[in-house]
Amino acid sequence: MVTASSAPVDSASVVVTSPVNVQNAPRPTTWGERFVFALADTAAKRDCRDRPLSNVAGPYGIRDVGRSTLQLEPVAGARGPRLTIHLATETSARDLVDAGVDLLVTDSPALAAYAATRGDVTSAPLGWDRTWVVATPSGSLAIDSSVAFRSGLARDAVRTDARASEGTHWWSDTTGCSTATVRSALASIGTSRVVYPHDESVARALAERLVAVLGGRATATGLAPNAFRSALLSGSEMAYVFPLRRMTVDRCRSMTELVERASWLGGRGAITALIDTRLHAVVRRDRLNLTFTWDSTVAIAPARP
Amino acid sequence: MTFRSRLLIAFAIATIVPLALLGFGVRRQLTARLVAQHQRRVEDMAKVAAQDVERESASIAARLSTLARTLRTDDRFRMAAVRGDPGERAYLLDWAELAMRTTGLEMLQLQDSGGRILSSGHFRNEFDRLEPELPRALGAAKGAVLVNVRAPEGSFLALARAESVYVAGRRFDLVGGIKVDSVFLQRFAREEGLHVILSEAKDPKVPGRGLSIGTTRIPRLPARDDNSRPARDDTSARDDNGADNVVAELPIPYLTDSQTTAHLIIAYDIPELALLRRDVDQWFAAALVVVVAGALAVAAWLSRRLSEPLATLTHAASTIDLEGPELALAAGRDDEIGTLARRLGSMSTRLRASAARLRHAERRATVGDMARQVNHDIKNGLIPIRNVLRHLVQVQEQEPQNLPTVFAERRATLESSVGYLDTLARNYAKLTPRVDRRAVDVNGIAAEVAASIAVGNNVRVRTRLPDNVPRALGDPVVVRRIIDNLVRNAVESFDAEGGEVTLATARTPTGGVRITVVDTGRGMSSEELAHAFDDFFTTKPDGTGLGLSVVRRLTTDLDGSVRVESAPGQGTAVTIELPSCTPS
Repeated sequence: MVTASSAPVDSASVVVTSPVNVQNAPRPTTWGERFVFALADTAAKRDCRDRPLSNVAGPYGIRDVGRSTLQLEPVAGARGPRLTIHLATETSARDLVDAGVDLLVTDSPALAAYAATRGDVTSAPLGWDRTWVVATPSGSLAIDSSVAFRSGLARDAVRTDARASEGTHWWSDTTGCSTATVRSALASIGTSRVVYPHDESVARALAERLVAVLGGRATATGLAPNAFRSALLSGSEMAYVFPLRRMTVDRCRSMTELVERASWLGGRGAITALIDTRLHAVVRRDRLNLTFTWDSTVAIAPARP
Repeated sequence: MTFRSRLLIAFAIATIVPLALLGFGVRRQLTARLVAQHQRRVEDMAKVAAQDVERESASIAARLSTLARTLRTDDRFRMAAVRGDPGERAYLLDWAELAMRTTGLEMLQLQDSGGRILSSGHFRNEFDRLEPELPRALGAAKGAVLVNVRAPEGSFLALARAESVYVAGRRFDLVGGIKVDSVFLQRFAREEGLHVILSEAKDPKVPGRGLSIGTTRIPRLPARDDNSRPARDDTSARDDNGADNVVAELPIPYLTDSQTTAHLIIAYDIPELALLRRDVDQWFAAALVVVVAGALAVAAWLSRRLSEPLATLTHAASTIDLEGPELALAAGRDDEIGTLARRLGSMSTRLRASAARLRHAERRATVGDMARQVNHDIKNGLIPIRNVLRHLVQVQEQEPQNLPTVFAERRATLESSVGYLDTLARNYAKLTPRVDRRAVDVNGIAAEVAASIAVGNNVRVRTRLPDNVPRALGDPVVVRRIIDNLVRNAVESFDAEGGEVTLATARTPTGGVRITVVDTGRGMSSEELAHAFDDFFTTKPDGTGLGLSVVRRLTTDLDGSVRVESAPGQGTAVTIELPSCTPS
């Protein structure tokens, strides 16, 4: 657990460089939604032994939803400052940083580096929390799985803090998981599209790079969350690029959830891990206490008395 | 087919055909003039479009040139591209995107001399891909060229140029351009009804051929009233003669596997042409209805004017009775039908005269029979006289003293027989056909007759005998008999109340002599009139039935004519026309 301490405050401003749609609760589709929904539900925060965290603020309730801001307040009886969460692009986030924010959570190393240039902040990368994969229903699409290719993706294709995904992933080991055998008939693959959730810039960059490498008539197409969810369920596209949690406490449960999202993944479909990414947090010293959990979830800790 | 039907058809054709020709001609002329006018306009627009394309090409070239100059002094670029500094690789990869945004280009590639893509603005992650043909082909072209550009979401069409820049002795190629899509083409469609099509085919009626080239997306213009609908799916003109739109074409080099040319086709729908055509058609239809209706009405009126008199003449001709009274034909008209009627009337008169002469000849044929009858009758009259004379001779020879007594006894027989013969002689004398030919003073004879006729106190005979009446050619006895018969018949037509007889003469328009005897007697019915000239036809208890018969025979013998006009209670007018002694 990583912590940063500060004096207790009544309210704090937070900048998140990710779209957040509260309608997607409790199933986040972006890392920004994961961050916000985690704040709203302290009970969801658990330690690495899957025990609930007891020393964090919240739970929070979402009081107001503005065009680009969210107002969060601790629910009755809960502790913690009121939070104003600014949903910003990289450009506007810089303006907010210059105006002074208490916490910046971003997937842009450049932005984090810029924010860290202020003297009153502490910048820290979070853990490698997400693995970006390409899933191919047919299983026959020639995706280069070499380390060099993946390293190239991490280095050149995406503009976030990334690395080639390595090691054994939880979805690769289905031992003892009955749900892993769930199969269903595949819909015929009638397109040459590589689809991705259009809110995810990393997914977009990876899909475009795959298209560039695959050549031919392949195209990259961004889909809205619901459309992507439907497309993933049908397995009718040539390939899907999307993120998965890098780590899980219960791999069988996660596998079950994954197969529920795309039943064909339990059959001939193949998942190829491409890169791991992580976020960066920049926090103003003496303003907030932060707790970074084992799975890189950010929690605001109660102020010290 | 009746005359009326033919006339109607003829009028219909005579009006429809010229009117149709007029409508067609007006339509065609209007179409030709409007099309020519708009054709010039569209050709001018094509020239403007050519200038616009040229301007865009120059603008692309200028922007690429600026970028090339910038690259030469860009140290980070040098470090990444020349020295291969991995720390600046991200800068290199993002350079084209940033440069593209800065310059307003919509596609930009930076390639090294081997054709490897170092940085791509429209497709960031296509780095390291080899595409050496594109800058080579663009470099060979003189101006901007249409190319299919690959993008993550698919390919798009761009108007592109290439520019080379040398940095540290190495050649780098810049390929940049702008998207050619509906937004681009819209700038050429500045007016309502104007369509711009980019097609590989020159003929806009070949729909979408350009769209099928590889992965090219030839943009389609939004329709005038529906932006979501492709504008020129209906690239064909709206009617078969192609006059509803005008087209001008601008060739633009198009880089494909087989170097070819695309065509910027500017087509202009001429809405007012359709409106004009519709108006002309409506007016033509209205005029056609009016003219045809008028023509048919005139035709019906004319045909009625022509056919009805003809039908009347036909009916009259079919009812001509040579034995009956003369029919009144439409002889008063001064047109062809009047002439025909007069000719028909004249023919009828001649036929009637011929028939009369024929009947007369028949009667004369019966004269032999009559002579035998006369012989028999005279003998019948003479036999009592001879017997009385023989009786008287016998008495004179045998009993002379009784001769006076016997004569007195037989005198009645003699007188009766003589009277019978006298009557017989007078009756037969009326049938005697002996005609002389010389100048006759009709007025003198008429005056003698009027003076000699014995009339009662309640009957008056008036004469009107003008001096200018010429002498007639004929027999004075016959003329006297004619007049005497007519006056006597007129006098005898009166009942006890009496009446007036007018005996008049006159000169006819042709120079002949007209004798008219008019009475105020009881007149004749049409049936009586039809038989008035028959022999032995009489309405008088003691009439001989030979009066008018003799008159007509005698008149005919003098080459004259007789006409009777009569009505019950209206009296009778008999008109005799005789030829003049001197030729007119």
